[in-house]
Amino acid sequence: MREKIKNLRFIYIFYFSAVLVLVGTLTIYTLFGETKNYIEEVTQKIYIQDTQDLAYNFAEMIANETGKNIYINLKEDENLREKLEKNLQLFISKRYRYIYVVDKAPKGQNYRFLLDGSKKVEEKSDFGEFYEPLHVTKFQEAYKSAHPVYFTQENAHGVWITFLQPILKDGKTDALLVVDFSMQGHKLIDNSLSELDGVLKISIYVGIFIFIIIVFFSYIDHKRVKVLESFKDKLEMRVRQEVEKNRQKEQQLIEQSRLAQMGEMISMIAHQWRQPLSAISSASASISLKAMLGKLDNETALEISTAISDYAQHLSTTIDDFRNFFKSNKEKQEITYTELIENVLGIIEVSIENKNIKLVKHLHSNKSFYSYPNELKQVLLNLIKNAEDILLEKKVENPTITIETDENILRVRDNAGGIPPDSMHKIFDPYFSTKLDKNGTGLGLYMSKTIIEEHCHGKLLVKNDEEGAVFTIVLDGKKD
Amino acid sequence: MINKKLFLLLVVFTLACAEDNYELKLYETVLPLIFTKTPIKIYTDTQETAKIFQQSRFFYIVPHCDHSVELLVGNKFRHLSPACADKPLFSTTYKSFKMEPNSFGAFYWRKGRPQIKFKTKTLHRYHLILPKTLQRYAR
Repeated sequence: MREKIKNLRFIYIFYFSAVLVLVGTLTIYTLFGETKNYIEEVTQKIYIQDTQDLAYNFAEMIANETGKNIYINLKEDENLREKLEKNLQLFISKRYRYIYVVDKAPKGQNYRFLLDGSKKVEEKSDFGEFYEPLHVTKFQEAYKSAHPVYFTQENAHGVWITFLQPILKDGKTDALLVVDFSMQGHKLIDNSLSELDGVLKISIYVGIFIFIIIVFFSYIDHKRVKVLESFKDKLEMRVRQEVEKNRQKEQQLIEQSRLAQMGEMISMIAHQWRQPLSAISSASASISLKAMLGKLDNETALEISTAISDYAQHLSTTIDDFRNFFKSNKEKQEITYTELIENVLGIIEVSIENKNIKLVKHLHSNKSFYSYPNELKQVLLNLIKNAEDILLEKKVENPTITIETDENILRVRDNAGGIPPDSMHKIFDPYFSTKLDKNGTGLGLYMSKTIIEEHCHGKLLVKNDEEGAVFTIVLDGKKD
Repeated sequence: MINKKLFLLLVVFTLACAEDNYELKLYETVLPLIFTKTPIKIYTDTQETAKIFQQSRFFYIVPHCDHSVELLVGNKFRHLSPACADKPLFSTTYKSFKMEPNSFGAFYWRKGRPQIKFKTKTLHRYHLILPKTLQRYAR
């Protein structure tokens, strides 16, 4: 989940960066556009200011030269027309593309040319030629207001700004002096800013490209992560299932191992019970005999019945010992190796002695530790039983099982000659057995290793010494 | 699939960026309305004008001026064949519009502004009817 959140955040940072790149570039370009417009506006104002007085003076001069009605006067006086047009021509320059005078046609919305300052024949209009300007409303505005009007052209070829100066007769507009600014000023601004414009345009394309790439790869990555997550989930589920299967298998092995040990236990119980049962039988026979002979007094009967009761109690204790042996400890308990060994020998010692096997104890550890006593008893019992089985199988002279403790170490050794080297690496494998006479399950040592290493977090080691096999248990004995 | 989409995007982008042919658009709007038919068979005096009309499906350029020609477009028709001499003319300069007797209309640039004009009398002579939308340009 944490990883998922981390991945999600990473993707969001990715998206955020992409949007930031795009928005940043667009903002810069918008700012640039606004700055460019501002420069154009300022330049326009400067141009207009420069032109205003000139146009005004010209309009005054035309008004003065043409009498009451401009159209009629100019129509009738061709010389005046030529003179005024020559004056207009003087101002045609790189800045001023066209300078001409128009008035409103008597019918309709059209205008007509009265004077034209154009030098080129193909550009020059005829006197009275009808003319349809692109921004008629601006012309009408200048006509009505009798004040100069200027505006930026958008569709007129080669014209940037148009300045309209009304030519007044008795305070009313009789004609308009039109001054068309060439694109020179606009081009100057454009050329000055073209490099920056180019760089910013490229930045926008790069920004959009990066944005698309980032979004595309984020999408791919997102999909990939989803597939991986689904794969991971499946894998985790599979691992959980396998772990559970292994746990169940292990549990089955433990059960199997315990059942195998149970069979051996019955034999041990038989050994344990033989002596008290014999004593009970003997006491019973003694009572019967004394009763038949008439020699059974109260004191004797009480004494024998007490002895029988003690033997019965012993038998009951033996049963309890065996029952406890098969209970699993759920929590760690404090125990010493000595207590552990005494408990196990209480079950198995009689059986071993009956088989003429010498049991030697070198107990040097009284240190208490925390562990699972019943599980440890099972292991110790298994190690001792294995030693017993091999000693009997090999019919060793002076068979001896030695149990040693030292600090947190417990050793069980025998004098049966040791484990064959080729079997040494396999003895802890499940279902591996070297027992010939008995039917070994091959689970004893496997379970012992599992209990010591998996449950008790200790170590179970094996080696051969000069006399036989040595099994060593090492426990850390910590509470948790 | 992605390649196709990219190509389409590129085409749309290029078309959006391309400059419109203003003159051709105007001819395509005005002349079919007056002649009420397409394609109109045209004879022009210059290669430049012919090139403009060649791009349109509304016009058909005739290489030699003959009886089949329906319209002359241009301004320098000095040596027209007798079959073509009296065909209606759509002028491309003010001078031609003013001077040529068979010029019924004109489209030209004046002070950087497009100008369109018609002569009512000449239109009548050729039995051409000017649609209402264009009547304001007629004199």
